[in-house]
This record gives sequence, structure tokens and C-alpha cells, in this order.
Amino acid sequence: MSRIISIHSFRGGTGKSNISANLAALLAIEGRRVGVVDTDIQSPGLHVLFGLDEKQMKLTLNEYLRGECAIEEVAYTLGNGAKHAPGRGKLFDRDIWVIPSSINAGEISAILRHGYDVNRLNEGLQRVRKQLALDYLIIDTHPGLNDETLLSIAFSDVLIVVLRLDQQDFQGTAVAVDIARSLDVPELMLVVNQALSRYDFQQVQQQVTETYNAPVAAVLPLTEDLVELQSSDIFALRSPEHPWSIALRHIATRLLESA
Amino acid sequence: MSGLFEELHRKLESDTGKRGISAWDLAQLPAGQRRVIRLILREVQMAYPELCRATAALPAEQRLEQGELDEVLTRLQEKAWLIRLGQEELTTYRVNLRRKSGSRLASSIWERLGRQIDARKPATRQQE
Repeated sequence: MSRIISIHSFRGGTGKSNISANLAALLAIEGRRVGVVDTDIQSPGLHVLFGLDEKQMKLTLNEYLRGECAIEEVAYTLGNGAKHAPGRGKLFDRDIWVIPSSINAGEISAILRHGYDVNRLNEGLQRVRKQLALDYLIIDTHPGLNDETLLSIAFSDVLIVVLRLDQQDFQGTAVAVDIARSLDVPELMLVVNQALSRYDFQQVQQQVTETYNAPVAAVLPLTEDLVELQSSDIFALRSPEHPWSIALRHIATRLLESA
Repeated sequence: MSGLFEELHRKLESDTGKRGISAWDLAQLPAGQRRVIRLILREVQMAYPELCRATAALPAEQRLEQGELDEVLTRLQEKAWLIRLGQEELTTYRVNLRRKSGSRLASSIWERLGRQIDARKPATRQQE
């Protein structure tokens, strides 16, 4: 049975899309059928990590939501074009599909202006899960709390909340965790990202676990190597022995084991 | 004229939208009702016998007896948060999610933005 994993953060800039893309890639490398969808319609970015540009993305989630195409038409495989990137290249023959949101200004403003049918969003996500026989559907959500984010949390099997060691993130994460609990998400885990290397990661993990009474799946270090990549590739596949990649692999292993 | 039309359309959309359930409503529901909504959301729609099987297969502390399930279905239909289709054995249920409402900004702002986006298109093509 396929599992739905929502990746969320209360605030922007936590590395949520990077974690979503890398986690999807790690699961696909393990031979699983994976879909990853960008529901951050207002500020999409997931497609960049998979090397999709506006020309390749002729149809997106936006067109699907407006009823102009089927959801299957907006699920992109990486194909031979992915071979040029050392990390992404490892995915070209794997079962991974990316469902991007539009980066066309007109498309974004049309959704913001007119809204959309949330039933159609749910139908599309559930349909693509079944039609593509996915083992995992990973949902990269819009930061903060809005209707579509809460909806994806509500029907998820696993919610991963990403936070940084920052007072603003601490307070916001408490809200996100409370909401997740009130929506009965079966499995909740936290991921601390961009932790300074001088911190004791075990101590960070323990403190965050106690603060939210929720398990911390990983503490990911702040790394210039990842920043330098500028979202141009899948870091965990490009630099698999890097501490950031190793920590992320622990999350993937945990997801595989709990399936 | 188009401004008046947009205003009326927005009001109609907003009033219609109130008939569906929002994720915020979902968080406030009694546990049994939330459980049923969650089951149906993941399948998009479920026939009554499927629902009976699914709720009976839940962990013991979450399980719903048939009478409890019927009560939940009635309550959710009263609020128009669940839509019933078909009759008797063919009865299926769908969740009625509230539409994501559009922006409340004045239409003139969006029209101006749209014109500016359109005006930029030829320039972008030339650059390509």
C-alpha cells in the first residue's frame, strides 16, 4: 500500500523543498516507485532540483487544477536529460515522477485570483498515487498553515516538520505539531535542518524531542557545499558520503522500515 | 461592469464555498467523524460496504460499529460535508471540500497585473 508523506515547515527557507527532492531520490534509488509533488503553488521551486524548466513543463499542477488536463499529464519522468547532472543522472532509469507547479507569473496570479477546487486537488493526488502504483507520494507543501497544506497533512501517513534552531521556527513548529496531532496524522517526525557544526547534534536531538514530545528523525548540518550547489542537482546522490546526505539517508531508511 | 460581475461572482463563490468542509473544520470534528472523512479522502469516494469494512478494520480503540458509522454519516451529510450518491447497496460517499477562495484584492489590481504580465511576454520571447 502506498504511503503519503507531507513535508512541511511553519516558516519559509528551512530547506523543505531540498529535503523533499532528496528524500524522494533516495527512496527511488532503493527501487521504490516515488511521486513528488509541489503544492507550494504560490512559490514553487521543486522543479529546479530536478532540472525541469518552463519549456519542459508545458503542463503543470496549475493547468490540472483549472481542469485543462489530466493529472497523469503533469507527472514528469526525468529521462535522458537528467544524465548531465552527476546526482540526478542516477535517477534517469528509476521510477520517480515529479509533479511541478507553474513558474509562469500569469498562471500563479490566476490561481491566487480565482482560487481552485480543493476536491480536484485531492482527486488528482489520490489518482496519481494509484495510476502510477506509487510506493510513496511525497508532498512538498507551502510553508505556514493554509487550507491545502492542512488538507495534505490530513490525509498523510507521515508528516515531516522541518525546522531550524531559531526562536521563530520553535514557536511556529509548536503550532504545526499541535495541528498535526489534532488531524490524527499517524506518524509525525521532526527534522532539524541547518544546524551549526559546533553544536552537539545528539543533545540537539534530545532537546527538540523533549520540547515537542515528538521524535527527531535527523539533525542535518548547515553546509556550504549544499548552498554552493544552488539547487542545481540532488545533493544526496551527488555527494552520498557527505554528513548531510548520510543523515538524510537515515530518514529514508526509517521510512522504508516503517512501511 | 466587469468589476460588478466579479464582485457578485466572488460573493457567490464565497457563499457556495461555505457548504464544503475546510481542513480547519476537519481539525475540530469529533474523532469518529474525522476518521471517516480521512478514510474517504484517501479513496476519493467509498461505497457503504467498503466503509463498513474499513471502519471495522481500524485498530480496536478507533473502530466504529455499524450504528456509530451510520450516525457519523448522517451528521456529516446534514452539514453537507459528505455527499451521498446512489441508492442502497450502490450508495457511495464523497467528501465535499470547501473551494479555495480567490483573492479579495480589487479586480482592478489583478487586471493591471495581468496587463503587465501580458506586456512582458513578447520581450521574453525575443530574449529566448
